Amino acid sequence: MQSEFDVIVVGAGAGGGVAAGVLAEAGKTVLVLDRGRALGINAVPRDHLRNHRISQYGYNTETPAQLAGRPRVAVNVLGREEVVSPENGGYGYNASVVGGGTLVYGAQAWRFLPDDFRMASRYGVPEGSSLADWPISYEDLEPFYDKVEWEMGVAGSPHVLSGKRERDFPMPPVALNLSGQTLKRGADQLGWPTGPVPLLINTVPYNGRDACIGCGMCVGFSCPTDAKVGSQNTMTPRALKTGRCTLTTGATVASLVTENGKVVGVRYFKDDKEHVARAKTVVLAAAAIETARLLLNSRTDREPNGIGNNSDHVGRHIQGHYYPGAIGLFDDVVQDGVGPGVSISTLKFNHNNPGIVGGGMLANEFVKLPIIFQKNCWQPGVPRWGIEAKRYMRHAYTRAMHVQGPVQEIPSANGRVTVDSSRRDRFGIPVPRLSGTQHESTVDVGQFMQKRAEDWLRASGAKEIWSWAPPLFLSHGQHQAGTTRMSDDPKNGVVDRHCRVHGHDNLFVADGGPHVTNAGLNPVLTILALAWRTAEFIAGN
Amino acid sequence: MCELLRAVIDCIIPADDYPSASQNRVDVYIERILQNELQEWQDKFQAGLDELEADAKRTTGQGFAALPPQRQNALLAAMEHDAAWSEWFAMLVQLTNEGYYADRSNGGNPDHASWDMIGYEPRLPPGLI
Repeated sequence: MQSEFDVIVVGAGAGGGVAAGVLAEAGKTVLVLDRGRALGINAVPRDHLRNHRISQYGYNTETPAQLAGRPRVAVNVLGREEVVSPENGGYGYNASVVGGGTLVYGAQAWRFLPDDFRMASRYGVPEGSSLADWPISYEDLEPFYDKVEWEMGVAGSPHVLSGKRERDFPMPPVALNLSGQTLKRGADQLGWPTGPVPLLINTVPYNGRDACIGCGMCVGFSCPTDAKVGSQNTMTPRALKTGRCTLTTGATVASLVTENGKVVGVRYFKDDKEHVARAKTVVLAAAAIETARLLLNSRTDREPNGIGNNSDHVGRHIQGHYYPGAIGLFDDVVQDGVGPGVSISTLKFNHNNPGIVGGGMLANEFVKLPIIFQKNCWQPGVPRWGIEAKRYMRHAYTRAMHVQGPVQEIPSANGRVTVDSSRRDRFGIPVPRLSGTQHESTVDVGQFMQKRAEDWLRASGAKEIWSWAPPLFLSHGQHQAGTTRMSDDPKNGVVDRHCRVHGHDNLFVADGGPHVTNAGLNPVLTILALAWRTAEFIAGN
Repeated sequence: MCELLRAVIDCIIPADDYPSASQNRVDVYIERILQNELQEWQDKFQAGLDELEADAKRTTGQGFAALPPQRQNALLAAMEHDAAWSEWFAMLVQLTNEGYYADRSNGGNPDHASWDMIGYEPRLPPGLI
């Protein structure tokens, strides 16, 4: 391996793949380090009990040995501390594999809305929250949303309530499946605007890969026809094709290496040996929890509390998404089983809700695995065992419909990642400790959206409806964001408007960490667009 | 153990025109998961079955598997509502459903009969499952 690269990218997930692709094509030599493996689409098991939708026994992208010896500490809302493994929901796990979450996600490809970038100006700052505006606007990011949509591939059509677009989507949206048709009638009756769920899925052949076949195993699994668009089948191959990118898998990065306070590379473990790689520029794209951990575990005389952390923002303001929802049971069959399953959504409640800060999107749900339906979609009052339980499964699987959506969380400085130096992973690296919660007003937004999900199902003809909204907790998980907050003033955040760590001219973040707020929408398209913008900035300097 | 386990899981998912739990090889799934991810549950799971069998003998003089379904269900309902065994009962229901509704790579549901029953199709290309 060469002794010094132009750029090291830590993590080959959503943002890391884009950064590597853009930088390698711009002529830079790039080293990508990822602790996972590179897996072909049919090397990811289609195990209904071990995947990224149901994980109590493990995942389909890692072996048990890969998951062992890498605990985190989770502190619940009552202050009780627990050491958790990646299978536990409190861990906030995201796939450790080339492609990261984009190999196995549901691929919802939302642009954040213009108001999502100016939440504090739009609503004021709830007391005790750390709600703030982004230093950049929707208009600043629009050209990069456009690039990601066309270069990687997004299927959709514009919503009336979404931001202005330079041009249309490159692919038509997924067709309305039966549940979508049912919900469309209900929305029309309510006067709610709806539109398709934009997806990073080929609905027609695109970029040399096939179209979606509508299978019933989309979210949580790799795509059987490679129609799902991830960094692993677009930007990472583009990076490797240049001949200037080296992808090293099975490599766990421990810390940044500095000389006189300046970042000169990273220290990592591969095959149980310690290595150092050097570069002019380092891009951290390990996802919000691990990127914060890496910064906090990299200490210098100048930054004794972790690199980028002289203002004490690294790891704070963590966000994911609270998911309220409702299930309606209909007399008629409302599920045709055509995947991916999400096909209709409304942005009516993302903003402009009286007495509510922000809001969220609502959509129908992915095709459910039978065992997930059994675990999560049980009608209250129906016996859980015996012949009645069996009849319920038989009757309800095609007649029940789940409407849900991500709520825009109101951040709190107390919802945070720290590192616990008393607990180490198998490489001896201090592990992340997750504590605090989002701001309590997030709970109100969730309860408001729960009622709207009920309204939609009722208007669509559901005869029985049951629903829920999350209590106050610390959310992060697959949508984790906010831990390296973007700000113009170094006192108010970790990275500047180019996602460059304040005080460092050669250290960048390209995951959800810079998100000041995480919208009431799935965050991946924003991670991809920001990474593209950051990579072009690096290439231009 | 095997006959007793099959009788117990068939109370959780009985036969009708689709297979019961044991007819759908759920016992194979349960034995497998208890030897792997749920090793720490092995003894406790067996203890619950032993308790059930002892209850059956104490109250009827017969083993659980020999009893008519109504008596079996009553004994299981007693376990479900006994604070000492409710966790065991919840695990029994969970494992029975996992074996019955998960894909066949896990040991149960060999012909995916439960998927036909509820109307789920993976719709994967030929050769993949």
